[in-house]
Amino acid sequence: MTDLPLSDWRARLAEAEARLNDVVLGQSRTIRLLLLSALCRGHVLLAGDVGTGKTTLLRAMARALGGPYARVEGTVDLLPTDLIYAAHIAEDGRPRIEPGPVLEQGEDLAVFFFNEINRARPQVHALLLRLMAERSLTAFRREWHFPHLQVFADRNQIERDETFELPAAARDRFLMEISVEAPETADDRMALAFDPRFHDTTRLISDVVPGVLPYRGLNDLAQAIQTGTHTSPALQRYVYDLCQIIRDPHDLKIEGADTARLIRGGLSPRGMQYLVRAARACAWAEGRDAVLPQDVRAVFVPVMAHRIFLTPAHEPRRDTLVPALIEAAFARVPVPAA
Amino acid sequence: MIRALPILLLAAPAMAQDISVQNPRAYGWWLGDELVQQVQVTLPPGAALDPASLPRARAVDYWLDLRAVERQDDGNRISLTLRYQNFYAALEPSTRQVPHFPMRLMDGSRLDLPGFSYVTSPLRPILAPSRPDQLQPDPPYHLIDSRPTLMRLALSGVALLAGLLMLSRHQGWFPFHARAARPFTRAARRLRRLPEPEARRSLHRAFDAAFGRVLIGADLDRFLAQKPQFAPLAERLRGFFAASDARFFGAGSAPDQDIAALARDLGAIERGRR
Repeated sequence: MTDLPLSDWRARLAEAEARLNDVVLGQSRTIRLLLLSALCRGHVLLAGDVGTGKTTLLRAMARALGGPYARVEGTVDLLPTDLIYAAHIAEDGRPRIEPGPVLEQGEDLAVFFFNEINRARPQVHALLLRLMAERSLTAFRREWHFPHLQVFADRNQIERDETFELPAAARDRFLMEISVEAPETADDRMALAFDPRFHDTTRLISDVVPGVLPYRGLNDLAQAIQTGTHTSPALQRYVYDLCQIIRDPHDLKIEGADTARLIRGGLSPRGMQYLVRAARACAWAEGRDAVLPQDVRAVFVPVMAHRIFLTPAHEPRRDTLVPALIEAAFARVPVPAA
Repeated sequence: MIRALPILLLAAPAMAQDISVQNPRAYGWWLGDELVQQVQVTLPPGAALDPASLPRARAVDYWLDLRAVERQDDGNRISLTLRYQNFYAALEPSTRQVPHFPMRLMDGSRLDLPGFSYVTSPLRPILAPSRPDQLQPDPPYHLIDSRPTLMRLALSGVALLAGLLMLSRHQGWFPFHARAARPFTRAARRLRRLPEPEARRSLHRAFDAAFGRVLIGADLDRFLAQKPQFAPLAERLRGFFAASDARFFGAGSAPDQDIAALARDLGAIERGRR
C-alpha cells in the first residue's frame, strides 16, 4: 500500500480532492493547498473568520490521510506539559502520569491539530516549534520521533484579546499560511445553510474515504516528487529573481507604501526551499514532470506571504500591502529572463 | 421736362434744415495753425444724414489739410467739428478761401457745409537773412523705457508657448503625438537577426509589454480576452507558449517554430493591417 506507483498516487490525489470539495463547499483553493502541503510533508496554519469550515476541513483532511491523530484546543492556561503528559488520579487513589495528547498515539502520529493556536502561550509555541522542525520531542526521559507527523494549526483573526501572536520563528516553520474565506458563491452559502447534510460535521466527513492518501507512503512520495520533478535553470532564476525583488522592492510601485523602506526582513532560505518544494508538488499534482512559472505563482502567497516582515510603519496595513507587493513582483519579474 | 421733375424735386435742398456755423476767426493765422470750424445742423424729424457724404479727413488743397472730422449726435441735432490745418507759406498777408462741401441726407436732399475764408501771414519778413542760429533748439527728447514692454512681450511669448503646448497636448499634436507602443512590431524587427533562444525571449518581452505585466503561459486566455484582436492567432500562441514551457522549463526539447513569422503576424495585427 505504501509503495504505490506514482500514477496511482495521482489518481488517489484527484479522488481525495474531489471528496474534500464535496464535503467542504467553496474552498477548492484551500483544499488544493492542504493537499500540496501533505505532498511536501509541510505544516499548515489556517487563518480566517470564525465558522468558515476550518476545523471541518482539517478533520476531513486527517480522515483522508488516515492514521492516528491528536487534537488540542489552545487556551491561555495551556502549558507545554499539558501536550505531553496527562495527570490523573488512578482507581487506587494514587496520582498517575500518562502520555498526553501528543504521545497518546505513539510515534505513529500522523496529524496533530492545534485549534486556536494564538490563544496558547509562547512556551507552548516553543514546544510546538521543536515538534514541527524536528518531528521529535523529549518526554518520559527519552526521545520520541514522529516521522509521519504533520501539524495543522488554525487561528481566528477576529479576536486580539488574550491572544499571543506567533513569533516569527514559529511562523517560518509552517510551510503554508492559508487564509480561509467564506465561500463566495451564493449557491454554496445557501447550500451550507439549508442542506441538512452540512449540519452534522461528523457524518459529513464520513463521506471521505479514510486513508485515501495513506500517510505512511507520503514521505516516500514527497521524496519521489522532489527528486523527480525538474526545475530548469530558467525557473531557478525566476524564483531567485522573485525573492530578490521582494527582499529589495525599491523599484516596485505599490500604492500607499514607500517601497524603499517597506521590508524589514524575512524570505528566509528555508522559505525559498519551501517555495520550491511546494511548486514541485503543485507541478506534480497537475500531472507535469517540470515546474512552470504558474506553479510558483499558485503557491507563492500561501508559502511566502507570512515570511515577509514589514517595517513597523507598514505592518498595520500588512493585509493589503503584502498581496500588493507579491502581485507587483509577479507583474515585474520577467520569465524566462534574458 | 415733366419726366425730369422728380429728379429735380429730389435734388432740391431740404427746406426744414437749419445750419448754424461757428467759423474760425478771419485773420491772424500762420503756417501750421489749426483752424476749427464748428457746424450744427438741425435736421427735420425723420431725416438722417448720409454718413458716406460726410467730409473725410484729407488734403483739401496743397495748402490745406482737413485733419479730423468729429461728429456728435444729439437727437436730430448734429454737431460737426472740422479741424483744418493751414500749410500756406504766405509771402505776404493773403486771404484763403476754404470751399463749401456738399452733403446728402438719406432721402436724397442736399445740404451744404458752408466754406469760409481766413487771412494768413508770413512768420517773418521775407527779406530777412536766414541763419542757422535762428533755428529753434530741438525739443528735449525723452527716452522711452522699453523694459516693461519687453517684459510684457516675453511674458506673452511664454504664455503663448504654454498655451500652444497645452493645446497640442490636448489635441495630441506634435510633441505629444507619440504613437501607441507597438511591442510586437518592434520585436518583429529586432528578432529577425536573432538566433532561436534570444528571439523567443525577445518575443516574450514583447508579450509582457503588450499585456502590461509579465505574461506566462497560464495567462494566455486572459491576454486574449483583453486583446481580442489576437484571437485568430490563439492556436499558434498556445503552441508558442507550450514550446517555451518545454524549452525553458521542461526536461525535454521542443519542436522548432518560426518565431519571426509569428512576430510578423502579431505586429501586423497590432498595426491594424489584419
